[in-house]
Amino acid sequence: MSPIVDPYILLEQPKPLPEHWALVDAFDAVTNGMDNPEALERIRVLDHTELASWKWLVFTIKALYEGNAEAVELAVQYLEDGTPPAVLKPLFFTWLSEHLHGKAVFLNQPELADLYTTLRIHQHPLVSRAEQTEEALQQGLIPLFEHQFEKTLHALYSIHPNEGPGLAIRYGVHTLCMLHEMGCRLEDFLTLLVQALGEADGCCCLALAFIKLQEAHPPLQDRTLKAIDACLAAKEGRFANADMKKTLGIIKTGFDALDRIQRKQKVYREPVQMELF
Amino acid sequence: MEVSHILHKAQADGASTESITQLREALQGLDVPADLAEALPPALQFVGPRPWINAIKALYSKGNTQGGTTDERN
Repeated sequence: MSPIVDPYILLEQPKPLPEHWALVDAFDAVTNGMDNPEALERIRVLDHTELASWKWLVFTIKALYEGNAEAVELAVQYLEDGTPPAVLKPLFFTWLSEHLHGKAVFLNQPELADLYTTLRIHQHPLVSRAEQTEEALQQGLIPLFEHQFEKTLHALYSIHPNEGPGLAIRYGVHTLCMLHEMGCRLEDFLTLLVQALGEADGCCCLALAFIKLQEAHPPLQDRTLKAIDACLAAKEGRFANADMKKTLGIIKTGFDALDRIQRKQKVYREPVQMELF
Repeated sequence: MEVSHILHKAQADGASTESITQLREALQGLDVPADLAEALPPALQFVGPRPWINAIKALYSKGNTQGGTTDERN
């Protein structure tokens, strides 16, 4: 039996089988970004030799669009060499390499390179949204800024289970520093931060912004300590986990020690000044 | 207090290397769009089934001189 190179041909038979419809429907859905759980469920049990690779192609593409590297790696293993869908394997490996290591593998077949170029969005939608957020801030459109800022933070936070929270907090710290330079009171944004990142990570983001800002503005140290306290009082977050909280506690102790030294120096100087005058 | 000093002291006082690395990254600043684009994974757009199938047809026909171009059913 010849392999199936175009699954849509299955529907041109006088009486297409239900599993043929399910395969084509599932393929349509995943490549168009639509949900069709019934079709996916029906093809899950499909094990005809000539259709199994197409089934796994559907699941590989689905995982690819979901950004689920583990599921792509797993599904691509079932694309049996020699079957038509297996010719796409290098494209999936390229995506995995870029997704996991930031480097795309060179695709030496023009058909694959063209397909990857077609699929790949030149600028990530979140980059565009972050640019719009900054523009709204610079133009003083505060309600729009707040709406966009919260959405961007949350999207970054959720984009990847491991790197997402760190990236969101880095972006949050950057934006909070901008807000401070524009004369805004950062605590006013705490509710927004908590809504986007959860209590611990929202407070942590504020604390880190203060830690960064106090370098040039020492009077912010009191507010830095309060933000660290709020983070430590919250339940664990994905960024502010137990280990991170321990570190923030150590940093707080360092600030407390510095504060005590500064107070002692202040007490010591006063009599000297009295003597001079 | 300088951030680098804070992190250095925290590590000396028992903070984990992993948490210090994460803090250093979070505090390093961010350029929008350049740094953000670099930090984000590749984004894909939905193109429908045809580009996928066309690529398979072209590549499979190249790799199979005995056939396998278009209507390979049966």
